[in-house]
Amino acid sequence: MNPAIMTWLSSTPVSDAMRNIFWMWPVMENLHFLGLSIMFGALLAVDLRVIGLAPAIPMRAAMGLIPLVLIAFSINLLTGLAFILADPYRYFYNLAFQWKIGLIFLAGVNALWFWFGEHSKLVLLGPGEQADFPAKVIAGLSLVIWVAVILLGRLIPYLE
Amino acid sequence: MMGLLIWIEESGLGIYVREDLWGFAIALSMHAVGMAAVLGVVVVTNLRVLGYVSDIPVLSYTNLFPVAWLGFAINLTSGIMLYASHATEYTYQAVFMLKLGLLLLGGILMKVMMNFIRANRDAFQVKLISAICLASWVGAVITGRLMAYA
Repeated sequence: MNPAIMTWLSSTPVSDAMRNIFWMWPVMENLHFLGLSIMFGALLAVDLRVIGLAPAIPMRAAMGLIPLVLIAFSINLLTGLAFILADPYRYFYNLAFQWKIGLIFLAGVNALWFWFGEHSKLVLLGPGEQADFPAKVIAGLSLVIWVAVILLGRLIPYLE
Repeated sequence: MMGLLIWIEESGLGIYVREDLWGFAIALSMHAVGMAAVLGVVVVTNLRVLGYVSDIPVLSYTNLFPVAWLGFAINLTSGIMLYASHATEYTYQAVFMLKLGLLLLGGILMKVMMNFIRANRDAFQVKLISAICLASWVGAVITGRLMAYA
């Protein structure tokens, strides 16, 4: 990462607030924890239905949880950005962080595959009806990738 | 009491989690994943009870409960590991005791709420229990995170 960009990132008003107001960091951490849990919970409902482990959940109705996933992801994108702005040097050179960001992009590609490749077929599924195999692979990958993202995020302080 | 806490800290488990290079990090990472599973299922279930995405039947969320129990088992295990490593410290942290109380309350309310739903009890009562249940679980996460600052 370009040193000039790093310096600029660390000198925003948000950076100052994160470093100088004592309650900012713990508040952002708590929001980040709640956001990740809400996002994971909503993904569990959708992905486990697709995989076949939650057959009682109607597939079409479960898609109504996707806005919740996006809201929770936005909370974590914003709070995550606040951590980075507070101390970009800590994060960009951190192995756990680098892998975490890579996996989030992978999860994003996986989600696009879900939305554009499977969504229209999935909403037609009847009660308890099985999804096709590619959809199950996407749903399984989604859960595995996000578990890895959570693990790597929690390991950031230990891989410096 | 202090003698017991020191014995816990000096147990093989306590020493491993505290002094091994990866012990604490592994327990903490497991704790985050377990939290996501338990709290995630609790949140989506309670949001449904409170009226969010009402075309999913409330009772179909019980399909997710085995995952929540798996998360709970992960967090009981990793929680015992974390506690053993700093028993003399955590036992006297007010936020930790508050966290345990909120977990107990949240767990009981979850059970009561599901029983009320199955018994077709008054919808307002069910929503009231759900709101308090959700607040307890959110409080448990916040007090847990604040242990690092206490």
